[in-house]
Amino acid sequence: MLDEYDPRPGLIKQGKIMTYSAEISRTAPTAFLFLVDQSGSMQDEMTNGKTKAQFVADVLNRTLMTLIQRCTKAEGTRDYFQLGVLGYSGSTADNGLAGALSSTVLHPISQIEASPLRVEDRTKRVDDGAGGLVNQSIRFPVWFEAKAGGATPMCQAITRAAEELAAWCDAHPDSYPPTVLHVTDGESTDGDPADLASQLQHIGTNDGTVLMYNLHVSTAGGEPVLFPTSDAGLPDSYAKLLFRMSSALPPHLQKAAEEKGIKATMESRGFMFNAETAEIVDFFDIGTRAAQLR
Amino acid sequence: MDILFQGSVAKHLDSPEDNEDAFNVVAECDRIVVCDGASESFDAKSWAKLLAAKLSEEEIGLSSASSCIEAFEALHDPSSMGWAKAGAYERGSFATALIAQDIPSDLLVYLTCAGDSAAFLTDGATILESLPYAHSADFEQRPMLLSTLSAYNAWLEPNDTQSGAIAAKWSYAERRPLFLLCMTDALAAWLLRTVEEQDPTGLERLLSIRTEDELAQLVEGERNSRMMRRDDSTLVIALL
Repeated sequence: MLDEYDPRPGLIKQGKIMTYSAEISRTAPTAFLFLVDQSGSMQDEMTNGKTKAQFVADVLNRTLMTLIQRCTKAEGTRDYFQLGVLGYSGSTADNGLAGALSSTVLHPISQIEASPLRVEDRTKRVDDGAGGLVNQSIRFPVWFEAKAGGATPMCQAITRAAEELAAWCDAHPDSYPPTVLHVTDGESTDGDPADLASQLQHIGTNDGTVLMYNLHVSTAGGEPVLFPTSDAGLPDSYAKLLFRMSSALPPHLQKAAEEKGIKATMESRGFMFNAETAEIVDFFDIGTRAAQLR
Repeated sequence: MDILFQGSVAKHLDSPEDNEDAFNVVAECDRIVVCDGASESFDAKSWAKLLAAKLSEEEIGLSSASSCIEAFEALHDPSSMGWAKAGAYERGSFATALIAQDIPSDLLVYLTCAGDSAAFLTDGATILESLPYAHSADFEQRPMLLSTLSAYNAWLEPNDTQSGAIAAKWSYAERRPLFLLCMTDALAAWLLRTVEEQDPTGLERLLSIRTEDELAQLVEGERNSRMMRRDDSTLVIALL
């Protein structure tokens, strides 16, 4: 029963208090697993002219790039993180990374760094220091391709994530626990995912249980709901379901949210509803801030 | 001043080469410099070393930072790097800096710091002065650091809204002998926590350190009991 589960960080597991404070190091890395809805409705266009699928793919690729750069020093990329992507559509949830990264779901970040599908030359607008903007050429690695079609097998995706992360936690019992960042725009077509999400959040290391954050992407133009503390203001049962499926934010992520001007308290859940472009970027940024990177 | 100890312990004892702290004790000038390279940096080790060397002769400010940036840029060629290293380089490298300058003729120590490397003045039983923080919880803040990116060093220029590097002047005219301790943040936060818990042994143990092995033993023991954050830890003890 969902009611028996308290997803707030700090809960007690087998008599030990979960603190979400483990040092993240090369000998004790943490993991980020991205679950990405690739169903047909992700083809809808956002206000920036891109499809939801394309924009989410861009933000995900940029997030991977940023994580890699955070781990990269003069001598190379240090394996502080293991990363993976599961894309789901039709009736399956599959590895979202291809090429050299297709054999397993989770990879040390140095392997991700070494194996983009391609590196594109893109242009970004930057401050020219005199009140204007200028174009700057940047190298943009791509690992994850936009795709949209078919149904929304959310239960399949969460089940697959649980399998991957149970094995990962067994192999890394003292690590900061894995974080799941789930991006979706529609309702599950293969059943009710609530219990599966609850089970996923029972998997953990000695430092805490899996953190699951949910992002609902929308083109409806409604007011976004960011890190709510209750489901009271949410519009429907679908939004309330995603709220219940979301872990509370540990203190360092509350702080990260506050730095971006998003109100967050110890009761806030890692959930954004009706997110548009800016919120999607914030969700990925805040969700991948792990404490105590050493 | 007499230097009783100077040394540093890496965050992982089996990887001393990864230590990103740097310090310089210029005995003939009665000057101590401690710098702590930030973990999330492209090359914090070189940056901290360059700062420690430069600040042995100059003060913390835009001019010394600019000289160090030039020297840092001479070490790296981002145009020859792959996208990951080039991106990490462009994110910058960051470090703290602490200068303690003793003026024996005046029985004064002048201190300047950027970031959270800390100095303490003690008679061996009580901490009489501390910089930049007086409470262990203060070390949870994100301090202003010296960066290889000039734009991030603008805060060093004092104006109406910013004070630049923090400065202090401590006199030891009234009481002697006194000890001056300079150290990086993990060690400083731990020391203040022992004081807050009214445990006198923290200060006593620090002051008794005379070898790097003794520092390693204290630091690793406290890390393992989760009383001290695992980070590179540097300590200089001077007798005034």
